[in-house]
Amino acid sequence: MVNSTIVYDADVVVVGSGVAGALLAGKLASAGFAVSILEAGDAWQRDEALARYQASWKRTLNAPFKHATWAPTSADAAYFGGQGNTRYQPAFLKGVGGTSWQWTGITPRFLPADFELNSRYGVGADWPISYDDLEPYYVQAEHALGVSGDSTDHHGSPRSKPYPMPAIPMTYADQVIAEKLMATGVRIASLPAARNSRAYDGRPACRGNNSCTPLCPIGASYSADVDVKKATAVGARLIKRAVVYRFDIDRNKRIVRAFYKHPDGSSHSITARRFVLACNSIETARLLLMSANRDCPDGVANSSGQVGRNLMDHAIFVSKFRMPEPLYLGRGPQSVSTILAGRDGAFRSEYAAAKFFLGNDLNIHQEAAGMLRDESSWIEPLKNLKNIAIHQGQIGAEVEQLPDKKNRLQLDQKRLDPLGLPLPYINYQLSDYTKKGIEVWKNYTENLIDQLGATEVDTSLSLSSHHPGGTTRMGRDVKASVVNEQCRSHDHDNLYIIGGSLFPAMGTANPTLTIAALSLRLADHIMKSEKTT
Amino acid sequence: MNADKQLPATGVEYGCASRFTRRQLLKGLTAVLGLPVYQSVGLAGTLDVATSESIPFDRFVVFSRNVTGYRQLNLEMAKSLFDIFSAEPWGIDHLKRVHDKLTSGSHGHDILASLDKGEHWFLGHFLTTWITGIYYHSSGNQMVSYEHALMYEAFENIRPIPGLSEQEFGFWSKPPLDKGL
Repeated sequence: MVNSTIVYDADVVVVGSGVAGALLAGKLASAGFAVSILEAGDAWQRDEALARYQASWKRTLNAPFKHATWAPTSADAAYFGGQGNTRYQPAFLKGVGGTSWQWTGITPRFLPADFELNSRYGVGADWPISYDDLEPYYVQAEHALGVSGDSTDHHGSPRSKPYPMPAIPMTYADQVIAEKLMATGVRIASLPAARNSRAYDGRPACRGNNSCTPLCPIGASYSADVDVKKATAVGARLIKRAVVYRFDIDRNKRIVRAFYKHPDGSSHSITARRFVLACNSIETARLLLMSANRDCPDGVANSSGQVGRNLMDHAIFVSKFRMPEPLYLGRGPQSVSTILAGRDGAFRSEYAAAKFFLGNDLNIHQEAAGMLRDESSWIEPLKNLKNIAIHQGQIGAEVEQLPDKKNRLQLDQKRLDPLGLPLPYINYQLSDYTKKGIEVWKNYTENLIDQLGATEVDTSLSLSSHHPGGTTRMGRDVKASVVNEQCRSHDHDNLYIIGGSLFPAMGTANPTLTIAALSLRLADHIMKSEKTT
Repeated sequence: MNADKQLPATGVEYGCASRFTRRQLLKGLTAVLGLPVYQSVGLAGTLDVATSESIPFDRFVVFSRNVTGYRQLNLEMAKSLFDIFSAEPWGIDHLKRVHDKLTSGSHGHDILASLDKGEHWFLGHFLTTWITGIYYHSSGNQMVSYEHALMYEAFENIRPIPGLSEQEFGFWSKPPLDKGL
């Protein structure tokens, strides 16, 4: 029950200004809520980020972004610090707009079966909501982000409304591969993407820079700074460089105050009637665990002991190969098309599903480095590099991982960040279910490549597609989950969590659109419950 | 408090970068791209630093064209590289030696076989710098040029330079005008 005698600083405090926080804040502020957004990092300007990248000899994902030294991320070597599974290091950004500054923009919906994995296949977990519950919010999210897609082909996720923009056309390479594979019954289709296929929402159409990561140079791909601006334009207050580290809880177990630090170490606080955590699956869990106190010894919202557990991601493999004919990768978006296979079927009772992509991410720098290691390429080096680059093809897949309580984020009290806050320690292993899926789908891919007549196949595997999820999962069972189907903490009735950390099961879809849909759904819930109270 | 929240100390903490030498750090960074770390320290036994010479800028450009095999080198980038290599005690001397062997009329593999250890190293270093636009060196990696790096400029008619595309939406669905063959 809200204490009506207290004057709060805000109706809603949103911690984090990525896709989830920005959309929620904008919708609530538009409805008249007094919203404050706390963002640990700083704001970036796109032209400055582009110039910074081009002036840097570091060709890393984070090179465009001025580093918030006070708020480390996975880009800092000390963040994971060589602990836990060192091969699992999902990348993210801290700054206004969050990690949406660097993504390929791919926005498939989950499949209906992804919400019912346990019921249908006896593995993993079910969501407490269904695809149909979320479908109207998928539509809203597609309009908010600006999704281009083929409305005539739903890829297994039925839709009530068309995409706001027509699909991104396939690359030349995708067309060559599609034609060759068509004879074998394999279907290639355009992936939906939050990338403009025409001018939309004040942003231009894609110009095919092939630099979606680390940065779309013209803002044709959606990034959440757009929605932060919209939110502040309708009255939301943005507090940058504010690292939230603790909550105060009253005797009724309500969150009454969030404490945050500025880069100089000074501590501040803000009160609100409701708090929403939207910091990504790693940092949301870290914050809840950091907020442990006498009344919540295992962390805020953690009476179930589930905070930090069930960490999931998509394992990813990419097979590069050499085609007899030129494919000319590196022209257009880094990923446009998919192979319509692998995402669902009875096999999911035995091994993991996969979502395929035809890669168009020609990292010419990496190819040049590889070529120059071989001295035989030094005579006529550019001719050799051209030969390597224009014949390259790529097929890859993201493979689902099941929830597993042993895959877990904890705090390491002995390793502190520059503000003295404990850094995370992560245990993460692929399950046999996922390993078997990788094996099956890798063989499938290499068989397709063989059918293409390609040679020199080189497959690499990574544990992370940078899609961390599951650390504060949603569920009805208060002993086995952290929030309910409305994203509200089981323990604190004015604390909400939004983001991939809610996912009880990951499916194979890139998570951002589902995060956006859940965020818009939560905004509706808060508005409705406000009317009720 | 969960018992398993107590984790062992690792000694890896913030600010511990000073434990590593600058060389180790550079090595780690360049290892991401698989590029070799070029170092002047320790090259004394490999490069003949006593024979440093200078050449005019236009000769540097001619040498660079012949070594890279690319005629339309950007002169601004060439000037930056001329200054960098001229400042290295072994830079111009090795460029001349490598250039002389490359233009001797021998076949490619014979030329490579004729290079001594220092010349061999230098050729890889020189090509890496022109192609990537980055001067990788333990004395401090330097960005020389983004858009004029040959991995971008020499491919401009096949694919746009990332971040600098002026192309129309959808151009990628057709093959490039320059087929690159």
